[in-house]
Amino acid sequence: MKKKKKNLQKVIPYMVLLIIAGAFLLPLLWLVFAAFNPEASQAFAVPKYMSVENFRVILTDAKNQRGFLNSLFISVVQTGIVLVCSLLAAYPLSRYELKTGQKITMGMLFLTSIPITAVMVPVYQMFIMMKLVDSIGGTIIFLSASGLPYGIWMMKNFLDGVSVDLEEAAWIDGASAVKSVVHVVLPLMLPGLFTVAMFTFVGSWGNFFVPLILLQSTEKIPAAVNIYRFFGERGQVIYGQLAAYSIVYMLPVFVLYFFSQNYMSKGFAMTGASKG
Amino acid sequence: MVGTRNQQKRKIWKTALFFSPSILLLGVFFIGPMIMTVFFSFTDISLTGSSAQAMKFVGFRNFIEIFKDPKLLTVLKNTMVFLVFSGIIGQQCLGFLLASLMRGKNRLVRKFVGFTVVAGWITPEVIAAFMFSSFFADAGTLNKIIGIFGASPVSWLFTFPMACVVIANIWKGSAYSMMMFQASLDNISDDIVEAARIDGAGGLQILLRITLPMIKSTMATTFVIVTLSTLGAFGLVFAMTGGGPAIMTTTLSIFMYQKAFIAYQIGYGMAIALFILAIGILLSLVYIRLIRANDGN
Amino acid sequence: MFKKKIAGLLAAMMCVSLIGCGGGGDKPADETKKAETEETGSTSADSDVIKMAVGADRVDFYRGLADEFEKQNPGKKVEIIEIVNGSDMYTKITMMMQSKETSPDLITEDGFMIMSDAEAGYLEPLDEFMKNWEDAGQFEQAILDGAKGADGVQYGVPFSTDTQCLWYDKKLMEEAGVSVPFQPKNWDEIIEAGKKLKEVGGDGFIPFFLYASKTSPEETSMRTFQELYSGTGGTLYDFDTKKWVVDKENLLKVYNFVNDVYNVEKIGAPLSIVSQQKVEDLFVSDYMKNGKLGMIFTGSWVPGNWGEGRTYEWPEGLDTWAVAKIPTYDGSGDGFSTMSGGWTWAIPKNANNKAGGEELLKFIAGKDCQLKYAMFSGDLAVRKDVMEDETYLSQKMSVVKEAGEMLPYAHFRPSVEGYSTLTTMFTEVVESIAMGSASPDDAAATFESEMKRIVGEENVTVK
Repeated sequence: MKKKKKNLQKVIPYMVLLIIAGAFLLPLLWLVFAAFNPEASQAFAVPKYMSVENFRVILTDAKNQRGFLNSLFISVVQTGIVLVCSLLAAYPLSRYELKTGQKITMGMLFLTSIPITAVMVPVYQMFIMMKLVDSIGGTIIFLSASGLPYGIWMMKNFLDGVSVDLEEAAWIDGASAVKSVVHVVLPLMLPGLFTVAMFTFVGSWGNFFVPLILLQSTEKIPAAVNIYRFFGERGQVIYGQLAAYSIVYMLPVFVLYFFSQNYMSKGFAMTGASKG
Repeated sequence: MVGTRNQQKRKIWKTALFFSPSILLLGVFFIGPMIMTVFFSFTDISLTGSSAQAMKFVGFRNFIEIFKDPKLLTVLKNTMVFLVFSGIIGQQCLGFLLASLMRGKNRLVRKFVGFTVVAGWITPEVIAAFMFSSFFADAGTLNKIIGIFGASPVSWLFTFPMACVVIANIWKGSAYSMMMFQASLDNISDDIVEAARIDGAGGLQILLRITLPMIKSTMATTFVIVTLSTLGAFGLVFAMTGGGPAIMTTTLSIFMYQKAFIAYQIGYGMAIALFILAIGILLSLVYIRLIRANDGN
Repeated sequence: MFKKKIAGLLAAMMCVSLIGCGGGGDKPADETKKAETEETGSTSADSDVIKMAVGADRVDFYRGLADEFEKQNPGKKVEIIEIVNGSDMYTKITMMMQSKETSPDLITEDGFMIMSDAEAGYLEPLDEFMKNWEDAGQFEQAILDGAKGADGVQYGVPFSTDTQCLWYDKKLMEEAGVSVPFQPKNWDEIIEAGKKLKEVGGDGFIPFFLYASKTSPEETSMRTFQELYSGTGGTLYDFDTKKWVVDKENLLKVYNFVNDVYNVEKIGAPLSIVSQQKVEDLFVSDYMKNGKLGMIFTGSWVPGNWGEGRTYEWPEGLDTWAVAKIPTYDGSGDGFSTMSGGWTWAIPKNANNKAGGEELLKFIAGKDCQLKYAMFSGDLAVRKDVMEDETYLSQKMSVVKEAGEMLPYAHFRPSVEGYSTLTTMFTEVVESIAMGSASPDDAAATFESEMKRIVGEENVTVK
């Protein structure tokens, strides 16, 4: 009896997980079917025959290739900047208990609730003054700045959760703060770091409005803006290609998630070994 | 931590050094535009038309206009329903449920479930909108499914528009909460949980006494971030329903977009943006208070 | 002690950066101006490069034309700036036109934005250009007027237009006992035809589709409200007194018609279809092909979707579907009425290379390019020489001839200041009737109070 109950207790969570996963997959069905359907429309339909034509069209297009490269460059650099800056800023915030600093950071965080669309008009005017319009560098810096409040805040919270014991030992040993960050805190923070990186990367990768406004040369346009090339002047949509494009577009983030998940469990093992 | 004067000085300099890149970035590229946003919200600046050429200072007119708008109450109600159901109840609870269920489970299952949930998060908004329009369409996936059980098709997007956008947003956003909770649950060592179990603590007790207190700061963060981003959420709902039918799914951020970029009244739009900001701050402070109040216990 | 110091330091640093930026808002304005003039000096010397902004889905087509231009004018270079389609297109283009550094030299401008963009000072007057251009006489006057500002100055050179028509399914009409070709003389005849269609149609069949939802905002405003209203003889905006007009008698004609379609005779579409995104896509891809739609008010471009190699290829489409002119309310006035839109070329005021822009404009708005564009897009031509061209008239999948006949009855949207807000209201009022939440009388009352609220009572005349 007891064993049966225990087995059931083990099985239920798996069932719940699989049901949720199934529910999350349902809406994706249309996307997959449409991507392989040369005659896709918005209606749900199993394609009469499978074809990779949609993928061929979008992948051989030089503009799309360029767009993906641009996106990759923008998102990777931005994620790097946000990670470094937020880690540096979050460290004293978490360790020195700077009340005012925390309040300021929180204030910044609140400011991010202003829809980014509203801020773009002033940003554009500022960029004209600073001669940064149509500059990928300028776009990256603005994206980094707008992702930073989240980054700092999340990073600080992860740091708060990391034990100070090991670190203090390092302090007493006379190691500098930088060294203690790199050798002791950083490995413990891997799950947090990857979460912040994922968050920043996804935010940047999917950002459409900022590059739309700030960039204008065709060769600088990132993938997110190119999505709108599948929409005609009167709202007609090339669904099949759009679907194929979205699948390709989602791949890099999947890859990133794949790797972060591995690191996350590694980080888990280390934290578990040190102290709770 | 009582140190000598020198040590303190060194800490100050270190802090300043650590902070400088962020302050530089935020000061110039974040606070700057924010200040201009505040400034513009007191003008009649527009993208086109005569006031694009010569904007005038109009005092509080834009703000008064918000409160005079007969749609305001409905829009506020929509915003709150959307926030509570999709953000707080949906994304947060589902995210937590997923994270705690996945703890210590088979790697393959973890990966698979993780991927399906993350798929929503990384789908571009406009595509997610098409997927859900198709999902809820008269001849769409959902009606095909309920048809198997003999139910007649329902015009979901028209009959239950708010429920549709709420579900879409849960699908889109739960991954974030899930990952945040996963990362912080990973910080709780199995030893503690095991020790508690040996002491006879049940699942619920472990949750209330050990898990929740330990991930409190993560909860505060995700609550604040989910609230702020749900308040600002716009693309998904806009592409699915355009704020309709009538104004049944018009949230504040859609309202803002309609005024600023469809009617081109930038000044008015920015006033609405600041109004959203005020609500965001208010709600965040409430969460932080609530979580602090729990500290006392 | 220590904490306080850190806090003070932080606060000080914040202040410095704040002041730095706050100043950035206003002080360096003249510096920027100086910089701009220097910049202009350098770029205008570089008069061989002409920047042209076009919609993203037209880039390849225009690249072809630009290559030709470059061949004919050695040494000149055309740089194409692509603008994504969709509602953010206007945002992007207006922001680009705001500064010399980002402004293109030639843009495609929706005729409907000309009035307010001219008022904003974004556009260069083209009166002088038109006077000196030998081709100016080739344009239909009604269409040229549609590309003028509220001040009567020409700001755009048209290159494409469209008209609203009544599309109907010939086969279903015959089945329903309506004689084909169908040409209603007043609105009642449309309703009558709809009733007959309803009898022959099965489940899920839509006898008559009329846009009535915020999910298709400009379609509802233009193809339903303004299209019908233009057929009542009423006006929305009085260009002489510069006031908006509330004309309840004529408004009620429109609102009663919408109410008849949706609530009294129930010949409209189910509201779930009406409020669907991209509903026109659903029609051209499915409903029109499969006998699920009887009649619809929409643009003349529909068969363009069915051309060979297009997404919804259906080469036999015009064997089934035909167009009729949309009659006025009771057949009085001109007898017919249509709303027209259209696209124009315009030169931004901030263009660095206006001379180059004009040179390119003459080429690209010339007969050859316009003919190529009409063939490429399936849109209606605006030049007389193109309209008479054999290749244009003998296009397979098009109704350019029939639709062109409606151009003399064309009306344009009064896109003066306030229109962009009012148009949302026009849509919302129509929607409220279709949804059954407002009677025609309620709707007319809402129209009046909303119009007064939006543009101010002093700017409204009530008839």
